[in-house]
Amino acid sequence: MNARQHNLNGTIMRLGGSIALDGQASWAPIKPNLFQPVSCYLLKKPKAHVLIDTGVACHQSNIVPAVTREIKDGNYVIACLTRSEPECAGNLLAIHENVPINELVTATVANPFDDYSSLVAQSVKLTTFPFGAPASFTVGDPPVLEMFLAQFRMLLTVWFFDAETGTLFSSDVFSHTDVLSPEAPPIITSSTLDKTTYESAREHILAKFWWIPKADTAPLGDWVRKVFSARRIETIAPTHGCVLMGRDVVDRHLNLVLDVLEKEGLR
Amino acid sequence: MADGQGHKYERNTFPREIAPNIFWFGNCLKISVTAEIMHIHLNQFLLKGEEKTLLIDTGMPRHWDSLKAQLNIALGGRSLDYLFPTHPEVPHCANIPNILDEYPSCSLIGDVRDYGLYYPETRGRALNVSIGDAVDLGGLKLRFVPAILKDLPSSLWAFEETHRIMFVADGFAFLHAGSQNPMLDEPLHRPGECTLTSTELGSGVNVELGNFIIRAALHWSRFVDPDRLLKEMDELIDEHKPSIIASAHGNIIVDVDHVLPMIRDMHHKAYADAGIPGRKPAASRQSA
Repeated sequence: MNARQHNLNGTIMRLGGSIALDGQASWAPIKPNLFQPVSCYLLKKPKAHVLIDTGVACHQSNIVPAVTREIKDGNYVIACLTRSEPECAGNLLAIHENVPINELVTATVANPFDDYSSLVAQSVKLTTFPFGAPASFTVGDPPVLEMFLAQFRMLLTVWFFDAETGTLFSSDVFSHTDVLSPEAPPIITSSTLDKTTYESAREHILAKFWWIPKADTAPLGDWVRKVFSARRIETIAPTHGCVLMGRDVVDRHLNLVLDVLEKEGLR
Repeated sequence: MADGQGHKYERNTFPREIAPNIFWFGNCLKISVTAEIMHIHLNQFLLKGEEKTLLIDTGMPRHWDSLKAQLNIALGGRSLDYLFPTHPEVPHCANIPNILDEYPSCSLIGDVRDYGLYYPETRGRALNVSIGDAVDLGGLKLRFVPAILKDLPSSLWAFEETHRIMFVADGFAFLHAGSQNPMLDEPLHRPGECTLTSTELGSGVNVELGNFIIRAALHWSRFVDPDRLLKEMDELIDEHKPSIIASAHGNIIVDVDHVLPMIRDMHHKAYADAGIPGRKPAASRQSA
């Protein structure tokens, strides 16, 4: 187990690296001597291999060779982006140069600032969240994932859910954890060993979602509760921060997020 | 207006000189709405000081050739010294590699967090600034100020002190006419209006459509108490008293006093019309 590659449950591989929380990332607080995993995920499904995000470019030398090793010629490859930002799409083209991506799944063409023109020109199928559709829809044929628009977000964001493993890919939410060293396992499996506190979670969440102290956050808390009550979520796999595995850990971090929303927002 | 190279900066072409040695670049995105082609502003701005030059925002990679051509015209043979991406969102930063390749002595300047992660080749070419810092270009001076209406936390606005121009990135998305099509969630204007200032546009401000745009593009505006937010904006405007407000996604605002109340209305409506049942009025809420 290391910070670069980790097999979560036999079908999902976490890829990426970690960054020092020394002020280089705007989404996280400065925490001297602490580090944060930054991740993307590879799901091996019977009919397709699915990437959830592609990592930041500074981790390209970790991610691209790993993806190339894991995806064999002839596999149908779907790349799903939780956000169309460099934080999530940083290695999209580098991966595509090594492992041709067949389908790109992203939030919506309704935000025309997203630029996939070079991929589309190479006959990559572009699948977007259909406006006017139900609150969620499935990705792949046959379906491999559920995709739904995040209400707790900054930029346009979708979350993905893998019902087979109970894994929620939550992008920049549930990203409020850090680790003691760059080599530390990017995963929390035990509540008793989990060092996250209300204060540490709060620092992370407010660093990204700067507007919470000015906001009526009750609707956001309600939305998060509904996401969890409607699904059997056993694992949370965020874009940055540790993977949160097991019901105890998931419940603890769900309550941390709900507490921060309730206590830090306007009353 | 013409420069020493014989280029004329007309009101209907980019680059447009909006104040002496300050140029407006544009590459609108074009989309079909019903039977009409609509445009979406994607603006950049060049400040050509007597000693140094600075570009604000980068546009999209697909527009690089056009941006390069506009830069060549406005720079008139000079090089680019600074690139200030207002924030690390694709429309504002995605041409960083192209620009730094084209101008080898150019440095990134601003809140430069994240760029070392996204574009590792920029490490060593980035100058981090704090709010209140200024860069003197010679005859033009750009001061970095807090971004009030923003998405990403590292967003910065900037104020050019000589000509009193406030560069506001995602703020003040200003539109006249457009589509009610719910498929669209970014500022719109009609073809032919790309290079016009707010007073040159024929139609008035569409507050309803502006409200729709704010709710869609600045999702948090459905939840954030507009009174608290707009108080911060008013304080910033009062402190600097800009004569021009230059947004990345709208026409240039030259009648600031006329437009500001409309911007306020748009944010109030975005909050009030968010469809949150049982919401208390904004003014009755207390900070945690």
